[in-house]
Amino acid sequence: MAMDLTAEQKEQGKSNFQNVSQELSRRGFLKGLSAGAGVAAITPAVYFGYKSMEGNPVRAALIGCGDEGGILVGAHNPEYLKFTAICDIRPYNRDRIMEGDPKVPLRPGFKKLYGAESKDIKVFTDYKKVLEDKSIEAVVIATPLCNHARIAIDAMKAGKHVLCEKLMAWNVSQCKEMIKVSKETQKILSIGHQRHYSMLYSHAFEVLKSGVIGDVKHIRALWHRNNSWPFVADAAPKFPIAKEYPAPKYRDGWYPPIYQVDHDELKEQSKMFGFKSVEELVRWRLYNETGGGLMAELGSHQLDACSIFLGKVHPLSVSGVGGKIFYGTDRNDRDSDDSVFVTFEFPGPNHPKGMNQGSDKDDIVVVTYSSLNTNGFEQYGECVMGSRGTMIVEAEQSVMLYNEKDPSKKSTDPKSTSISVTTTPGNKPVLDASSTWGPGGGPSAVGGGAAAATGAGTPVSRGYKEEMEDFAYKIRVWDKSSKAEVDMPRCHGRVAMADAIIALTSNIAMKKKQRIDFKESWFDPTSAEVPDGDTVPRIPAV
Amino acid sequence: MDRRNLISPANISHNAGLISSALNSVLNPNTSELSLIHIKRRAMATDFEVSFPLGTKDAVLMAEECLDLINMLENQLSVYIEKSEMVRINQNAAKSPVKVEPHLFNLLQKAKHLSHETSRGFDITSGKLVKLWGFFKGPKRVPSDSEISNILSTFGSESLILDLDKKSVFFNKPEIEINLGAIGKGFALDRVKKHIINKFGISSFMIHGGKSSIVCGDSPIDQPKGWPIAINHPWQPNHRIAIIFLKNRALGISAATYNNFEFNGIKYGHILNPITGYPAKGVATCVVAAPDATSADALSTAFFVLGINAAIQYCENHKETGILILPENEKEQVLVVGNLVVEF
Repeated sequence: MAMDLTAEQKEQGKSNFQNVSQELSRRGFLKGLSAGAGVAAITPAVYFGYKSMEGNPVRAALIGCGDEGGILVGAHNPEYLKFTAICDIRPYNRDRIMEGDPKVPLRPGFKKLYGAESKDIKVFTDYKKVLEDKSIEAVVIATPLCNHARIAIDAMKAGKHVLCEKLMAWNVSQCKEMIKVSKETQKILSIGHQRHYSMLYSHAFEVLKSGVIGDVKHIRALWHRNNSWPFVADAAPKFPIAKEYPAPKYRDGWYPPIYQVDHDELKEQSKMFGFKSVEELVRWRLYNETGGGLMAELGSHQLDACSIFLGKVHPLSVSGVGGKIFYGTDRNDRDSDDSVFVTFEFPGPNHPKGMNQGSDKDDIVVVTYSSLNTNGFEQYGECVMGSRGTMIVEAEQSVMLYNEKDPSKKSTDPKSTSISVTTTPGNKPVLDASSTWGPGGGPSAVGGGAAAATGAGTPVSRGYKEEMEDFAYKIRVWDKSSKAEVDMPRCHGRVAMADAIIALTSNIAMKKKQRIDFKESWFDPTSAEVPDGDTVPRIPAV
Repeated sequence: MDRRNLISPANISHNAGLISSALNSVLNPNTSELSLIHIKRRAMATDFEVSFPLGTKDAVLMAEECLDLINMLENQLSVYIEKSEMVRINQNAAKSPVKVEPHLFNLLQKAKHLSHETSRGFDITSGKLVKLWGFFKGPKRVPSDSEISNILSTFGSESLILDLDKKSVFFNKPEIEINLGAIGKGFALDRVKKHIINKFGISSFMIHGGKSSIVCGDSPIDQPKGWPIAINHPWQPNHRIAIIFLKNRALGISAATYNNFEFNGIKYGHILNPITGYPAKGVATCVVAAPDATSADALSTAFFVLGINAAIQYCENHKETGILILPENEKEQVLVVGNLVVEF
């Protein structure tokens, strides 16, 4: 996002956001703000309505120890939730979750986090064995999408509380089944859309609600990545790469190399877990029967954010274009689209289905979303465009706020390279020197002092930690009290199902090349209605 | 004190005879046209532009690489970028010595040296002072006398403890915040110049950052005097004061033109005098030519602050430097001192 902003302009935008949210906070419109001087910061726990852990940490098992599992381990707070078991069918993942990923500090691994105690972590390959373990109170599921519903449902039936990674499930029917089982078994079901636990998003929403950026009619969200660079294998890999599978041609996290250890152990067994091959297991994001493509993996988070910005409303319609237009045979091939461009109509605040449940049917917010694999120029994020200002949330790390430009003011230059040719008569000046310091900003980009580094040091929490803390806190309260009085975690089944419906319906719209109107009944877990095209999964939920 | 002249812009022709260098290379009417290719990109809050004579092979590719280098240096030097090395130094160097990337270490060393050489007309440790006046992110304000006098004792380049062996910096005064605003662009240009010469083997080029820091290589063909750079009046952009010719040299220009503000009828410029703590007064534009852009950049700020007498004295001891100063008072004459090829 914010592709044409200089470093100063970004800092100015952050500072604008802080100024506005501090002012709102001072006037009592905000519950508290962590960033910025002069305002008493409150902890995310207070903000999100949970407290210090009462009693022992929840004993949890991590089922699925891949890329996302590693991130969750890195972010969890063992005072709330302690992993006492891990489960993965891939030997590579079981090794990495303990040892950590030397290239990714966010995946430190249990050995570093738990020290000597990491030896006590039980290691499973079959999740059913995890569910038989009476000492385990809860499971955190970070498996391929196609297995979410099956494992979550089995876990709740086995008496475990569930925190399941997003997307909630492979289709909407499975989501409804999960909610049903959660009710029947009286177990907590929380889904890992971490933005629901991000202070940054919460404050961005509060600031939006205050109306400072005027009428919001458009939101532009995107997550663009460039996965077209040649793949370079590790010079000294810890595990040799299996030769039985096509090697990655491009550097692409969704098309990782397949290691010999995984092949040797799983070439027969992977089928037991519903996968056609080890390749489908490892590269599950690429296949429509195992994953949900870009909309499920990336888009769901950001449409979730757009829903949050508009007051947690449901969209009215979606249409879009998607395609596999870059990858192909011998080039990181896949089922799923490598580029998606979707457009939604959301109800604005005064729409009957909007935040204020008004009567203005024309109060529509158009949300566009794109995700692609061949250009990474812009940082991912969401840009909320109001009639009086713009709010940009970039990479879940910063919020920038800008007033609409007064028509009389000079516009800023985009960050682009321009090329020109000039011809001057001999000895005539080729350059008019001047002392330009630019409008507004400081003495220059490198001028000023250290305080520019607002929030420097620790990065803003993306919400993973808080989501797991709240989950654990709710479990303790849940198990001790009359369950009806306990709030569910913020992203419980019904909330997360809406995100799944948005992502999955987008896929259907692109596949059918149709505009689809969302039906309220889809969002109702007690209704059996689901979008047309909510196809039967290969791996059943139960 | 060769080539030292005092000139009134209104009366140039009478004084032109005094400018030996200019007279010796009067414009040749037969000089052919000069065509250049310019490649420009935003960086460090301004536009950086790399120019080569048209026809230079791979000009755009080379320029892109140069501009990438500038972007990279911005990420290292900018205090507006949260994770920059400069931010890290400012946060930690008062606690214990911080190891610094060798090029940046050299820059700090040079900045400290230049501060000493100019008797603190230029001082990179005055970040807090810049902030006090609101020149960092605004709002601009006039601090009280006591605020200013309190802050003056909290910085000074002599309190930068630089360990040559360990390449580390330590702030002997805890309040110090380094501000590379008056030297960073020049430093970036010097790095790019080296890159162009050493990696590409190209000798004829011109690069500028925001038109206020300029570095040039060999003359373009048919431009024996060098690259002609126009110096305009800061408040009257159409009024040309002089043309300076640059050959394998750099130019720094300081003028309190844009980032100033008015309070109780008094105009305050953005260039602060680190000795008094108040905006510098008396100079409208200060142009310094030096062998390298880092020095030119720093010295133009220094003599904008210190004024004409200090400039004259400096050039006596530094024959490689040339200075042009346009005084704020329109009745005073333009000063040209030291090694400067200039035409009026």
